[in-house]
Amino acid sequence: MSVVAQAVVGTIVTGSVYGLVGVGFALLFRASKVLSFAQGGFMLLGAFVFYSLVTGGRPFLPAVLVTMITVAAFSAVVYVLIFARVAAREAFATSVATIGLAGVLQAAVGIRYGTAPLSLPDVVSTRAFRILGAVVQVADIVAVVMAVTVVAALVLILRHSQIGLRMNAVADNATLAVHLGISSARIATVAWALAGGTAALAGIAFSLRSAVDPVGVANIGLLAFPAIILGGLGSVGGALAGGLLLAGIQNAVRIGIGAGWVDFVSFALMLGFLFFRPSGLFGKAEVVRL
Amino acid sequence: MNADSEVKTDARRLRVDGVDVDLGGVRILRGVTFDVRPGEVFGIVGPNGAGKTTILNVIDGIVRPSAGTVRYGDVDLCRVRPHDMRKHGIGRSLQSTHYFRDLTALQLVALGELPNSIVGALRFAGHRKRRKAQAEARDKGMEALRQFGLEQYANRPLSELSSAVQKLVDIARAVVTGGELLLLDEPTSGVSGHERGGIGEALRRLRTLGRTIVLIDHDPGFVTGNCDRLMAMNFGEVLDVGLPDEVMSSEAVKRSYLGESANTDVGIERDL
Amino acid sequence: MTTDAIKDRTGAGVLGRTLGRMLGRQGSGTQFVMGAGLLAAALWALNGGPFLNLVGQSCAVYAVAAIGQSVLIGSAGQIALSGAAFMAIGAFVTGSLAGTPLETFPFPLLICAVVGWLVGLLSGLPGLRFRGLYLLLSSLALQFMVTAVTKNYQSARHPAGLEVPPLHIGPLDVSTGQSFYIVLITLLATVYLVVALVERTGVGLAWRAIRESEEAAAVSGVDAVRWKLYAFAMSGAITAVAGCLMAYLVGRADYETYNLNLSIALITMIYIGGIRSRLGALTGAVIITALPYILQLRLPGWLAGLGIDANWYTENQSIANAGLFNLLFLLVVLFEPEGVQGLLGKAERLLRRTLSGRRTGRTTESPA
Ligand SMILES: Nc1ncnc2c1ncn2[C@@H]1O[C@H](COP(=O)(O)OP(=O)(O)OP(=O)(O)O)[C@@H](O)[C@H]1O
Ligand SMILES: [Mg+2]
Repeated sequence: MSVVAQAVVGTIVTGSVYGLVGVGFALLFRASKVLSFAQGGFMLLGAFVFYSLVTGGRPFLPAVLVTMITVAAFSAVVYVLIFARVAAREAFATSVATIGLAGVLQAAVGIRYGTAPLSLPDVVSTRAFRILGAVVQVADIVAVVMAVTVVAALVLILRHSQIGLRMNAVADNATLAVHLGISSARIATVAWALAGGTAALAGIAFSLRSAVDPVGVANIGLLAFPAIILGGLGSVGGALAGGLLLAGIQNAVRIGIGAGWVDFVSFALMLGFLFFRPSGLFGKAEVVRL
Repeated sequence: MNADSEVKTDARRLRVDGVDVDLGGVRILRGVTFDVRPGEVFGIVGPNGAGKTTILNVIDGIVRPSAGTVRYGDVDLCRVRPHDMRKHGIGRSLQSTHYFRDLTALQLVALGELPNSIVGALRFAGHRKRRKAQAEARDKGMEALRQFGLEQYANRPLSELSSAVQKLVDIARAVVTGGELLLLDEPTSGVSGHERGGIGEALRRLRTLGRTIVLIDHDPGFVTGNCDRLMAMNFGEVLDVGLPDEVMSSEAVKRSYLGESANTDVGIERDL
Repeated sequence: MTTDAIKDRTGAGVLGRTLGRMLGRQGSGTQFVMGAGLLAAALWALNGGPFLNLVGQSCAVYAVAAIGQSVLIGSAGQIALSGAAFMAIGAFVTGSLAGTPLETFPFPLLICAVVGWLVGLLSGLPGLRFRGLYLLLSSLALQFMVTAVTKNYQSARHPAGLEVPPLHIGPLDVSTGQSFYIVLITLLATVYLVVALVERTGVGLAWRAIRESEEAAAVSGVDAVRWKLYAFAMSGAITAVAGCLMAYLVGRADYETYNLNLSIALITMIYIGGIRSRLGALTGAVIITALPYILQLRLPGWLAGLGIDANWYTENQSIANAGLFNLLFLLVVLFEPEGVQGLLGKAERLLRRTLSGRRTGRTTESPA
């Protein structure tokens, strides 16, 4: 019983982290049809900026905020300086180039902080509760709350704010949006900033549970791909749902078959979805234009 | 050439009947019905986004209709895959020629007769300029370029050629692909006024060879001057079919052209 | 054909004229410079002693892999991130054949080619449904799945990796040094020639047409699906052969070698060299393989010369190199998609223009 309960808790927490990374993918994809491979890199950056801040003695909340803002700004600057001119013309080339960006970020962090996991000081309370036989740490709760808040906020922003409506317009029909006077470059800059910020949060959420582990963080960035395909590329709410679903399946595989098969099943699932239902569970059917 | 004129006699008619097309949740064609008689030039006019290209896509198998039928002679074209259209003598030129950049004119035209079997393709040489004139004469590609007076461009990459020449090369490719029924999508778009003459001339020559041609164009003057019958359409529906002058003077057509004149210059470049 | 005609053809005058005509074309100078550079490097590595032999061996192996990837990515225009997966397949097939009657030399190579071909066909199936980003994702999935399978297999049976016996051809031991290098270069040249010949035929034409536009190719009667599958298969076969050679080079097959980073390194090679040609793939493979050795030997000295502390580099060499390559990849993809070849081509055009401008007193006229 407690194994299952623990797995459920683990699922919710890991799923939230996937969801946090995934919403960034979804935003970028909506705004510019770019699929970013660099989300893992921004996660890593977020985790280490946060690490530097808290080891420097900053309290939890300001550290989170500063990290988010720093990484968001950095992501936007990277977009404007490097990607902007090409991205407008070629979403696909930009997507391929983000593979390189991920590598650069990973190397930069690796040189600065090394590649071994670093343990965080106790930034949130180390207390744990026992719920239905499962041990739940405060860090877990914080991670889930962050994910749910961010996803809810983004969904609200997309539905109701000016910038969100414009983003939707670009997502629906980029050419038309240009004719309506919407600057797709500005929309894309905002999307990059938001994607960077959410990735940073995901990095923090992941690190809170254990340690700041570069390899683990980068892996989460890649495993988020199955999560977003499950949820549907371009669907912000779907990213969270897909993350939770993927985490659940992974835990089931870990318990049922063995930890060695988690990646295999995750990516096989992604391949299956790509093949039979490329729009995912919640995405709108993408129109393939001839 | 002999084989071609024989093909003409077993008269094949293209019938498009009640075709609906839905893409991305939008109905793009609604109950489109017309037929094209063997040997005639059938023009289609309509403002931007009327669905002209989509009609060709349906005939060509790239877009499957959600209702209706397309038959060519006794072949149900809705069951034929795009690359097999050439087996039925159907060739297609494209609205924009910016797709092919690196290919040379000869390579592009040779695509039309490139075998799809591995052995055939490995032995294929129609895309290479060859030393011996006899070897070249066997290749339909070089022959087609010659027919259109394009042989001097054979080894030039398409991106280096003017848009009028690109269009002509693309028509030559369509002829090589399937000479019997030609679907020509805006052969004069992006071509300046005084260069249109060459394209009109090519059309007339194809017509005297007895080819059946479906001709789309933005420029009503060009189409009416070059077709036997004309179909006008707007918003995915057929407005009128008949003799060119009658169609152009019908009320519905005039209205649609006056109505859209405000936004003709938006000119969003659309694929195919 | 009479002997006279043959003599006439090979006569020095004709040769000179042919060479002159070949060099008259824009781009031929670039090809000449790249080809000559590669040839010189290959000879240098042959005669430069054991260390250079070793560098040359890795260059040759990666060059085979890069050609394999360039068939798919460069010629047919299908971007995939699964190169390392195919190398892993080659390496593990070779490792599993060790100790069986099929371990005699040409067999592992041939079996790898066949297995690579088949898995390549399979990996092309998603391409029937979609392309672009979705295809990239499906190749990523393949990469992870192959890593998972090889990892599980390895940890269950051979925790230290699958051992691969030293390479013998007949009774000859050609597993190290110059002899191994010569074997690798011969194989590389063979692969290069086969691919070059295939791409000259209609198959290459079909691939190029698909790369530029699948719909437009289909409209011309090209069966895009079929030719895409063949590109996947051929690329898979060649890349798996590279994996087999890699296994001989390292002496074992270990799943850790064939991770996503290697896949990325392989695309980096073909992008940096020039995505449009095999010569570019070779150049890129040599640059990416040899550069770390050069940096390792020289960079600390250069940095010290500039008064910059080189410790951070020497301590994090592999990470720093990876970062550098990723940066190069990023810049090339975005700003110079034709890589080194594109840059040389630009220089050549400039040179031609100034030369012909001086000769005729005006710049070349623009095409009609
Ligand atoms: N694959 C597609 N998915 C969704 N909508 C499409 C697709 N292809 C075309 N459309 C839409 O269908 C309508 C008709 O397009 P079509 O290209 O047939 O027009 P057209 O008459 O050829 O216009 P033009 O004169 O500009 O070439 C347009 O509104 C276009 O946006
Ligand atoms: Mg059109």
